[in-house]
Amino acid sequence: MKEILTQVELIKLLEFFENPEVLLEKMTYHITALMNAQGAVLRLLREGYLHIVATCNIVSDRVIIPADEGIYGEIIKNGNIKTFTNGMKLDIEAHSAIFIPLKINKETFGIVSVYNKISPEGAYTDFTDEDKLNGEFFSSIASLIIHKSLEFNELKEKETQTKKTIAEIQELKNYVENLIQSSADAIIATDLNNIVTAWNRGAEEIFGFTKEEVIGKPLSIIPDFFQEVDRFYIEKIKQGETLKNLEAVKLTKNGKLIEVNLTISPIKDARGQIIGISRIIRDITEKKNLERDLIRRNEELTKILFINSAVRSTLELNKLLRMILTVITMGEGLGFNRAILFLIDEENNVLRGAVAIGPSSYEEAWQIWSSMAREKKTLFEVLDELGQKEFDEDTFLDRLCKNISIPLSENTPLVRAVKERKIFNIKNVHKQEADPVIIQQLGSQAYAIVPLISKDKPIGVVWVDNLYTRKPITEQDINFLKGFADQVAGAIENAWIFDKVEKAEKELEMLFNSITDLIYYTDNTYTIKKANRSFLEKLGLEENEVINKKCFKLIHNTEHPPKDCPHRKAIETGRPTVSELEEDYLDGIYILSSSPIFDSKKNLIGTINVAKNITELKNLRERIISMEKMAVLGEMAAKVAHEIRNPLLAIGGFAKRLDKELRDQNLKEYIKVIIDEVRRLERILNETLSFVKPYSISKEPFNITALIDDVTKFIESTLKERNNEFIIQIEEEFPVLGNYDKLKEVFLNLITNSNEATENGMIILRIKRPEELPWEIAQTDKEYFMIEVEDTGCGIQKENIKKIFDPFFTTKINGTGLGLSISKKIVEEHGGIINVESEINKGTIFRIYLPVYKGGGNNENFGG
Amino acid sequence: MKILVVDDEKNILMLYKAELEDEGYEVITANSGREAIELFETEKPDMVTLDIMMPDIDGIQVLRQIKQKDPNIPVIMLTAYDYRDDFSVWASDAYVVKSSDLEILKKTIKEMAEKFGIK
Repeated sequence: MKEILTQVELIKLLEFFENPEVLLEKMTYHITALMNAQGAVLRLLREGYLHIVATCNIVSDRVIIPADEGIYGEIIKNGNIKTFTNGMKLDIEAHSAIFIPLKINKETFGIVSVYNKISPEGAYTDFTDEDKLNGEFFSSIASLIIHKSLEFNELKEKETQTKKTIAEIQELKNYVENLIQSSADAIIATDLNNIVTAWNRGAEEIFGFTKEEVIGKPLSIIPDFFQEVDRFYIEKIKQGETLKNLEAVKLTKNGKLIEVNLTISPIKDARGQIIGISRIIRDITEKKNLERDLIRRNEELTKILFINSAVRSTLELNKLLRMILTVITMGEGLGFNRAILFLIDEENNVLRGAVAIGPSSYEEAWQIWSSMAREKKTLFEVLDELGQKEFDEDTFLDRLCKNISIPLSENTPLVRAVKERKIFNIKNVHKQEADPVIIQQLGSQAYAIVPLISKDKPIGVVWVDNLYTRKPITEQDINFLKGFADQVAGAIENAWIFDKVEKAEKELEMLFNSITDLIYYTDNTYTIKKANRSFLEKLGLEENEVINKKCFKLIHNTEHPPKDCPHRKAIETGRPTVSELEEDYLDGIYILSSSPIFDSKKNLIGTINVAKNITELKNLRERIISMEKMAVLGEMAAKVAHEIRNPLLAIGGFAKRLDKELRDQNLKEYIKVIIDEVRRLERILNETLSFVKPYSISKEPFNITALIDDVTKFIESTLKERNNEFIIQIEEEFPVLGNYDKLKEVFLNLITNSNEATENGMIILRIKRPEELPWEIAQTDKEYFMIEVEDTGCGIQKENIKKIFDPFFTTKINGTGLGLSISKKIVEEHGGIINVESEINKGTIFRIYLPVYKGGGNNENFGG
Repeated sequence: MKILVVDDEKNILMLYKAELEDEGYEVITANSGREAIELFETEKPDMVTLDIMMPDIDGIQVLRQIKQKDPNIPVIMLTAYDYRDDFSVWASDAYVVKSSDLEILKKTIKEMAEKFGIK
């Protein structure tokens, strides 16, 4: 009955089929109950060891036992049930025990050990043969159940594991695919024949080809010059190598070359066979540019730092400006072809060219560049040289730039750069608003302007262009130029101010020294602190002999200031004092003005003294008075002479007539006395009034060009009044022997006539050798030169041409009609001739032919 | 040949007239600038001698008016002053300083007559 119950119980355990732990616990409990024992332990064999998997009422410290040792080993070996009685050595101290193997197909896979059989009376007893039978029975059923349960669970677990693995793989696959797809890097797979098999979005982005365009086609991103290297890589890959982080160049769809970072690896199938090649490509063009940018920036910074220190080493404006422009134009600097600095001229409210650097032609540009290439000077060396050298360079561009001034009222880019503090990069002067002056005078096609701002105030602009290389001006160039301009603007302003102060100081010094009055400063103890050149010259002393000496000692040669000296009065009263002072020691009469100087606390600290020598003035005044007296005398004499001469003429004349008529010798004698005395009186008159000298104009040798220069100076302003251009063409210089003043009169006359006949036209004066001579002088063997005065004026009426040299003939309202007749006379006096050619409304040419002076006069110094 | 002699002093006119007539010239005289211009118009002389210093119209103005009317008539300036620096005198054809010795004047008249081709 018990067996059946046990059997039922065992079968019932099938409901724990899926839960082996509970199943085994329950099973241990049931065998203990079936055997009427104290407890049991169930061990299962796993990999050569017996592991306790369930217990009932007993704790064993031997959880794992080797499966080939002792009793357990024996039981596993022969598979028989074994009983133990008191006194036997077991793993657990017990009165009795029965070990039941669990078997499937005669193979033992576990042992159930049951301990201490309990008799109905409750005492420990031994296991019987019946127990052995029950054990067999239990074993047969339990083994099956345990085995199946374990097997089932094992299967179940395996299945779960597989599912999980599949899920994990799927996840990984998705992840990788995602990774590949979303990677910014291009990931490309090809087979061994270079046919594309995979092409991700990154590749589309980088190379521009879509997936559809490339899959199944040969890989086309390797530039020709890289093919060989690529083949070399592929060979390595085919041998199973992976090449990481190579730097290479690839070609995009639109033909652009890009720099890339490349990793190439083989693709293997399940058996490890290489079936393709994968490439991971990263576009590093940007990075490379950044790298270069970084290097460049670094260099620029160094450069700016260096330039900054170099330009701050000088306060000479001109030198500084040149240094700055050199930096802007030198290849190692900013490398612009031409650069000009414009500075604001506040006085005239214009922007004015200050200094320029750059070649004036292609030839010059080429020469400069090739010589620079030969000399291979660094920027540093050039700047150093500039720092040493005195500037006297005067280039064409420099001169040109200095003539450029743009009113600040205009609104062209140059002015706007200043007013709006704006940078201009004019890439095409014909398409963008540009400065007309730049296009016209500098021929620039494209240029840039950067404002110079110092202490938040614009002081000018830097103008640059690349006329000769035609290199476009990039934003980067401009940025650097801007950085540079910001750096140097302060230095320029400093130097500018310094320059101004220096100029003002020099001017003051010059003024001080060029004043002919004697000026000196003293302190309040009559000690001279500064004196001008006139003062030194008057005293005949050097500056060091005067400075810190007492003025009274030097001026008056006394030990104390004289009582009546205005200087002393000024010091004593503290008021400016002026008075006349006769100083015999300095040999003259002076007006001395002495003005006290006070410090901020109104203490008298010195005087400024100005002494004017009025000796000359006094003398002059006296001379004028005497001359006036003389003039009155002279006039009187002339008047008297005239009044006397006429009566003398009548007396003498008639006396001579009487002499002719008279026959009486006595009377003749008397008449002769009258005649002689009259003659004597006339002679005295002539001598006193210098009438005796026979009339002829005085002549001296001189150069005709000098005369023309003189005439030009005289008449220039008159020519401007009628807006006539006066041109002088001197083909050859000629010496002439003549009366300078008279000939000057001739040319003044001719040019004045031309000017009056012409308006908004031209007057040309030519000096040349005549091609042919007019008939009047053609026959002489003298050498002549010709002076032509041509105008573009109204011309002379034909009927008047013959008369124009007649005296008093004039067509002018205010004319005297003497000019041309006198000119003609003067020319003829010089052995020359004058003629005229004229056409109405076209103009007139006067030609004067004068003999060339050959020298040889006795005391005539030519040109003297 | 007819000569117009102009001077504001009658005594001098008398002397010149006598002396020049002795030389064989026909002489008419004018006592003032105004008279000189009138006689120049009416008498049509071949040559003129002019005193510069005259009270009404001075010799230079007379010279100007005569030359404007006939640029080709020879005019000899006679003066007690040195007027050579006055440009106006340049318009005349000769210049003689007054003197009791009339030979210079007579010589100049001859030269002018020759130069201008007057008989």
